[in-house]
Amino acid sequence: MRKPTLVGVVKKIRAFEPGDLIAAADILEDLESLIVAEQTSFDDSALLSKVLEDFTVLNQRNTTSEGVNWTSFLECLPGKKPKKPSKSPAVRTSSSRQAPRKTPKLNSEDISVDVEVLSSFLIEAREHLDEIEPRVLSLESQFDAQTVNEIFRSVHTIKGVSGFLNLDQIKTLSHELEFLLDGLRSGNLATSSALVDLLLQGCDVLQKMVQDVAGKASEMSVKKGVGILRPTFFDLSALMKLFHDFQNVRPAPPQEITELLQNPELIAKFAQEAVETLETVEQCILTMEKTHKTGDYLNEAFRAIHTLKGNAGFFGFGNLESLCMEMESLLDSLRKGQKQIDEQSIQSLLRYLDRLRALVQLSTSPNQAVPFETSDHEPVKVALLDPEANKYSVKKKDIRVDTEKLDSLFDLIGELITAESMVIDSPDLRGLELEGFQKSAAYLSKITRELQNITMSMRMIPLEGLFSKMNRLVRDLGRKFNKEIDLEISGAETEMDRNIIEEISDPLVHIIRNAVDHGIEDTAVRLAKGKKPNGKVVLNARYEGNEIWITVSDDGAGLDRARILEVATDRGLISQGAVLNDGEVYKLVFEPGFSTAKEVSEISGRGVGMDVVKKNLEKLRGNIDIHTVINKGTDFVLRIPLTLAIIDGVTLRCGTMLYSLPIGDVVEFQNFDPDKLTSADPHHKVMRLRGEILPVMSLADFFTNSNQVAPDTGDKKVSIILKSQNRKMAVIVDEIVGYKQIVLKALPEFMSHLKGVSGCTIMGNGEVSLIIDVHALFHRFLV
Amino acid sequence: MGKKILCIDDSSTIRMLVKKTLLPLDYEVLEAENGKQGLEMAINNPVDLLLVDINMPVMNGFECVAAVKALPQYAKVPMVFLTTESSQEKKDQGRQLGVSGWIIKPFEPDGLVKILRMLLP
Repeated sequence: MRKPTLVGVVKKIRAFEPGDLIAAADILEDLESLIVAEQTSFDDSALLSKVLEDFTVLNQRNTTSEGVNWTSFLECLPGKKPKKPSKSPAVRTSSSRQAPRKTPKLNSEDISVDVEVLSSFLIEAREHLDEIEPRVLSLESQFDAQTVNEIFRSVHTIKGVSGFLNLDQIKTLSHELEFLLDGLRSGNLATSSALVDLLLQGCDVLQKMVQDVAGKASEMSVKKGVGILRPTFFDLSALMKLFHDFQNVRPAPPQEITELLQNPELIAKFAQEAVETLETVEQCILTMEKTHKTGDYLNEAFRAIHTLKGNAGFFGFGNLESLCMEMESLLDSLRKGQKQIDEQSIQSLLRYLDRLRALVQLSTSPNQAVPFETSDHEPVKVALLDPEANKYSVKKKDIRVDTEKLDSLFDLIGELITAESMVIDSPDLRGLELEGFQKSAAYLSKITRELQNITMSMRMIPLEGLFSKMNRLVRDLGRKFNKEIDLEISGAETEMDRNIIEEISDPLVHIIRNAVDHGIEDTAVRLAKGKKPNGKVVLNARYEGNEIWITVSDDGAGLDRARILEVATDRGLISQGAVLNDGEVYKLVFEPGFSTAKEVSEISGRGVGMDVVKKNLEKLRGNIDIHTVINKGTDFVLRIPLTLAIIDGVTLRCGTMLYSLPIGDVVEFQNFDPDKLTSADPHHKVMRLRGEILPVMSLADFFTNSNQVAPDTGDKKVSIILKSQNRKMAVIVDEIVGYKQIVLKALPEFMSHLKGVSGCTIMGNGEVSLIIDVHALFHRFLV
Repeated sequence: MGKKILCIDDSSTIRMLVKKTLLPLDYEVLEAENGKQGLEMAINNPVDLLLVDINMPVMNGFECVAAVKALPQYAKVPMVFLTTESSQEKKDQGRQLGVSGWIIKPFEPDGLVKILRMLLP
């Protein structure tokens, strides 16, 4: 317990900095308890009370209020030690008011935390961390003050809140990160790969710590909303050293960088950025002219020109730099109100702008043949933004929902659809004319369908998040293997079920690792082969029928067919001299423990990984195709069903069995006419449809259930034209039963070897219908 | 009738902490997640004191306080920065705006209560 003494209080008041409210409250409390205790020998308690009163009033005023005379205030305090500093522990009537300064720590590592606050912190911290990484990565390619600010704010928030929770390590680390970011923000530090590395490393550790706390939090016992947490101790010393090294070495850009800047690509980038910046500035100026409002526009213009100035200096464009400086000072004097925004100043701003534009073009164009004087060009038309509209949009339109709730909603919708068809197709109603019922049933169907669509869309998120994580992966791997690799991403806006995205994240990582490690050759080898020195990995996603195809292509060496066969034979996976088609050969790489790598690297080559890919995909009823060309590269195509749960399907009958086809794979229906068939050979029949020759397959033959007794449908069979990628074929079935939403169920384990079937569904009357995997059907039938 | 406090902070955790600390003591706590929202709230709901973070998206704490201070009804309402910014520069900037002072995060819930009692007797 702290015992306030008069000496202590006087010291505190002398050291007091107006505005420091924590100190103020502390002093007030001391004063109060001194008065109440009457233990001081400084017996003029009236003076003490006056000090208390003054001090209170003082703090209630604003810090800038006039009339606060600190000197006089301090003078009325006893400046010297009180005559008899009290040593005896006096009885204090107000001791109950003294709260301990710090939440007591139970032992050196335990922290007692408010559970609600902790869980809020964890959610918030994760959100911030997720956002930080891509932003840091983007800094590497392009410095952007806004981005630095955003990262800074995220780290800052984590730091602030972790302090509350006494998560000291998280606080320390985020403080260091914040320090670096502040350096970046203020321009004391320049972005470099090393800096980005360090930031990423820091974020990784931060993430681990947060994860650790989350793990611990889920285990801890809670009493009255307070839990005891003991976070793992992380050894940060190495990282801290890196941080401190960085803060100490603040070098002028080394020779290397200056040379780097002569790179035409960078200059082109600078030029482009400069043009954009100037456009922004122009818009600001024009808006100011029109609205006669300055404020933000002036600041924005100033900032933009300031940035341009900095960049120009960096690239050694002296003229540009000095011109920017001139314009900057004009903007500054406008900003400070030393000059008026009038026609004349606007005019001179625009003139500066034109000169800057010309100069940018001149400085950065390779042939330098651009005329300097371009001041007489036509007035630029700029779509003026409504200055106030949409500038700040604050209202959030989303809420957070526990994914478990979402999943159970999803399951319930599935059940609802099954229940709906149980009611509508109920055998009890068969043969009845129920006009009213039909209407209501149609209405019910409409609503369930809408409900299902909305539920589905709730779980769909774009692949962007997953794909952007791969940027980091490729970058790290490239550094590790000393390979220069460009990652090209397309189709990141493709949306996919959240649960599926989680499942394919690992496979994708494995495939990309393999591509970088084994696929793409070393730079020297690439050059020898006449390839570009930089390896390329292309990541693409697109919808294909009822599936999403994610393609990972590299332009590396391709799979070595002979080597794969050799290893497979050695390992007894295939018999000596077995004849396999390409597809079968390449599928061998997915065998557990399969590796053709002669050396095991840290990243891949141990043979684990690719079988994980296969397993995860099987779980999703997905497939993987491999296309490879020696020395050209390899494509891995992950084919993943669009959704795990509900699809629109056509149900048909063949023999006594029911089958369903995803509607996306069906092109059209035709009455089957045996006369139109032509036999190419005994096993292959074809038919002609509007001038197109289509292979014909009998579903009954394919599933070898033709010996089952089929209900008599006469000769009126139906051919269904199916498509997969750019191929088409006709499938002959007995009867189309209907078109409806079907809820997918996985096949039971003992039937999972069935080829050409991806699952099953239960019909309203309890019958089972098998869902046909159209792509597999094509593959099996045509290959 | 409890005093109304407006807490403007982009971290929902901080807002929750403030709320948890003050609600049992018969304070009413309004929340805003950035300066702009805070400003709108201050205009629509007269409050007795503002707790404002400095680093916020959309509109930072300085801008927000300056804007609220400019409203006649808020000329005498105490405003406090609740922030981790402890540099002299930021403090001076705060003083210029005429705030009552600042509380450096992390703060003790107890300390916050004491300060509120001091500023809102």
